[in-house]
Amino acid sequence: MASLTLQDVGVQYGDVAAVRGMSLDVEEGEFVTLLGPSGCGKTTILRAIAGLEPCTGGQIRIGGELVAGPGVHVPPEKRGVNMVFQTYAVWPHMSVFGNVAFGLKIRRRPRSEIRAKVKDALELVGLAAFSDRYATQLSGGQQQRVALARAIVTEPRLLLFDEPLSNLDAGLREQMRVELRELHSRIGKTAIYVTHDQSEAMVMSDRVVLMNGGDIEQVGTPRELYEGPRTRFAAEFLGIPNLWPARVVAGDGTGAPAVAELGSDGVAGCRVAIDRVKGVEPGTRGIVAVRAERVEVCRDRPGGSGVNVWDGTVEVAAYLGGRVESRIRSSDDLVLRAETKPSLELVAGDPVFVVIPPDAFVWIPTPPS
Amino acid sequence: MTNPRRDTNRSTPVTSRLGMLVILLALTFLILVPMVFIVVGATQEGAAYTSGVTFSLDSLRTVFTTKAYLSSFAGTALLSLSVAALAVCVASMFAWLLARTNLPRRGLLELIILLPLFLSPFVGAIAWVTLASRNSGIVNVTLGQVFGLSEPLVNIASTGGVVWVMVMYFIPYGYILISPALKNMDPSLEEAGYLCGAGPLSTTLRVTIPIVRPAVLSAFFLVAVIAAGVFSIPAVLGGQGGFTPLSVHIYRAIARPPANYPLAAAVGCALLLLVFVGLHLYRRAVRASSRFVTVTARGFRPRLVDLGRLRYAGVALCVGYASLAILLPYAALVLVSITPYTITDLTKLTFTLGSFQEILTSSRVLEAVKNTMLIGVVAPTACVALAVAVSYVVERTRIRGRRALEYLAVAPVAVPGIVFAVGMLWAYVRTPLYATVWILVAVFIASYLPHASRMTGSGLLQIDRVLEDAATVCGASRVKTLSKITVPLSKPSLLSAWIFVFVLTVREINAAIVLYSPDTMVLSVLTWDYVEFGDFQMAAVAGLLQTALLVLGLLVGRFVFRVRLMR
Repeated sequence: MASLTLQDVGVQYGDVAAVRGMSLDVEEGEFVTLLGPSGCGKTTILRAIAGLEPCTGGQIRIGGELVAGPGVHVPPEKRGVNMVFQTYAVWPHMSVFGNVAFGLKIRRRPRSEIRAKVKDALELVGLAAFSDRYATQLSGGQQQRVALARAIVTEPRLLLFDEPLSNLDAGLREQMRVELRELHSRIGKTAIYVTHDQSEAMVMSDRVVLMNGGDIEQVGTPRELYEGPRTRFAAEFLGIPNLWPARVVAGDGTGAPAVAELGSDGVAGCRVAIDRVKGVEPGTRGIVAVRAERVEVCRDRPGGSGVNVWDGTVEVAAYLGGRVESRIRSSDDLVLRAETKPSLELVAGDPVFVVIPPDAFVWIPTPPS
Repeated sequence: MTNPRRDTNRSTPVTSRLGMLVILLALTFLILVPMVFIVVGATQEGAAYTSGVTFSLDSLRTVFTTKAYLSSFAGTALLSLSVAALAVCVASMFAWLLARTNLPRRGLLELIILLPLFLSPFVGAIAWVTLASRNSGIVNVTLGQVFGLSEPLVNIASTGGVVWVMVMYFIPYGYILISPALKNMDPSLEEAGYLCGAGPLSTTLRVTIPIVRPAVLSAFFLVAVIAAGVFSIPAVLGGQGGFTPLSVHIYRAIARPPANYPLAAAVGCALLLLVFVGLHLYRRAVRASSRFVTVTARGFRPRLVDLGRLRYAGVALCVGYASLAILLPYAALVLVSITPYTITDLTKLTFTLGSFQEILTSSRVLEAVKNTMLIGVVAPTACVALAVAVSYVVERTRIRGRRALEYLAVAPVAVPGIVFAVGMLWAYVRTPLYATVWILVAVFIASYLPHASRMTGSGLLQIDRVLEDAATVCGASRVKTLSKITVPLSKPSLLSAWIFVFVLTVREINAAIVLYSPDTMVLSVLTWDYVEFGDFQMAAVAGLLQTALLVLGLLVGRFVFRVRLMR
């Protein structure tokens, strides 16, 4: 168990930069997820940490020890890390026991110790009864557990996961998420986990590193990321469907909601009250984002302050069992995506009212360019 | 682990650079040096084994200006082109029949068409002498008796006979090159033909054949290239009055006293020239074939052409081929080996096992069997080991110079065995290696490295790299990963490569005939000795012995090690 420090790490393939100047500190015992779409460099940086890809710039330190940097490349077998691969990579010519014992045999541990440790590791992943089976006789989920046992049995300083659940079916995937998280809290290893699935990242991580185009987009706890995406990419990737360009028109600093004007596609002059733009200089441009579940839909005109209320028509309503996803067009032509309870029984064509509380908006300032 | 990065950082590149150096040295001595010495030898004068050789262009001048050699050059080209044309025609027909029609038992028929690949063309040639020689061939004798003919019907000891036997043994080569193109062709291309209103015949003629034409063309040139270098068949059958191909000229320059090694090398250069032209055309044909991407990932069964009653004619063709290439020759060999006298009447035969007794008690034969088995075990093992090393470096590392390794490893494919052996002779005649079994081992390792490394290379490509990465992150070094993960996982392809090289080695004669010495006799050369003395009965027995060894190896491989022989 050890900390991990990436300092300005770059990985270059010919002319293509897969990772560009990435810096990150991971504390001992932390579970950090690298999240991002395919091609964002998350697997590349994981492989660079393992030593499977050479870095072309920057430094990597594990537990303070420099393992990659200018003129230094500690080979993977000497880094004291281990990895669980997306395709499991369970060796088909060895039994379950042979797979898990491999790393210990390489280290020439005494036979009794190997047997005990492999048994412990297999018990930890619930495969103690399968130790003589061959990989080809196991299901995908079982193979993944073998890969996991093989990775933890060598007591690595860092445990690396490369989309380990993406080849499993949906039900098993959710079960394994919880199991992996529990396992992590039990063995307390520093873990770096790569995934493209945001809910997986949310469930498992202490911190999430959102990556885009070979660089870090945003780092934070799952909650920070979910509630406060700081870029349009982050908001989109984290599944926020309502994104509107906007301009702050008034912020008085008196505690009353500040007002911003939504200005996309001819929807000029639609003013909304937004908590998060308090104190922001009027005239500032940015994007406002609202999650679908924060868009409240009702059939009767709501009472109260009357702030941020629209009347509109349901254009599309999709029944998804536990919820209904709908697209609503307001009378002033604003398109909103909302998530409602099925009991509301929305169907296309229904006239409805829409309310968005001022605290539901996320403000993403547009970088001046 | 106070400062692990210092030693790890240095030791890894050093070990891999050292490994690279060892492989490079091996390839240099096995392949590069002999190839250079083909040219060097051709520009020398004097006896190779003395130090009294001097530079001279006489031999090359002789070969490239004398009418005898020039006509042999043209004749060799003509011979190999006609063999290739005939073999590829028949092979295309078989490939189409077995890939595109509803012939019954196609799997079994494919097996018997490919079987001659594993048999020795040299032994086949001997069998055809006993079958169809002018005066005592079983066919002539029997047919003459039955129909009361006064003149012999066929004469295998002729140029036509050489073409006949060569075509027989090159049909499977053509088949394995053409068949995949037909099998992997996107069936929707043909279906589109049917939907445009073309029937099976016109779809075949207008769609299928044009699409597989590049594959057929490349098969044609490859067969021509291999045929140009074959020594054994024309040597056995090269009768009176026929022309002498370049390969036989090389043999004569070495075997007929006074031995003229420079001349052998010079003729070898002429043969190389021929081969290079052929290979150039082959590469062009292959490049053209990559333009026609006919392979798709979809797993649809292609629509099969219903041959109706003609199906049985198709089966008869396949079975007929197998009879001519395998059944008839080996039946003849067995018959000749157990009849004490020349066969004059098939109804009045006497049988004896005398020749077997004679051959199996001869110390010369036992020595040859021993040598053949020794070489048959050592050469494939070393060859496959080297092939694994080369393909590992090429496929799995980024060491500089790995492309050079790849080129060196495939280079011998362009050099006929007998020519390569002449280069080997020139390179090592003055070293202690010469006249030992080991120079034979070396020449076989070099000659079959291209085949072996192609097989091990494709085997390696099938292993997911992640399986090796997993071992590395578990703490295994590169060497450990190779020995514990990569090699065990590629065992099937390694065993296939081993068996393949074993077969080629045991039956090899083209190179052995140049490099053997009386003390390092192998079975194929011993068989040749009997042929030279005109003792075809003993040759038949020796040939059968060699075949038995081959079959034994194949059976052990197939049933003990469960090797897949056909790929």
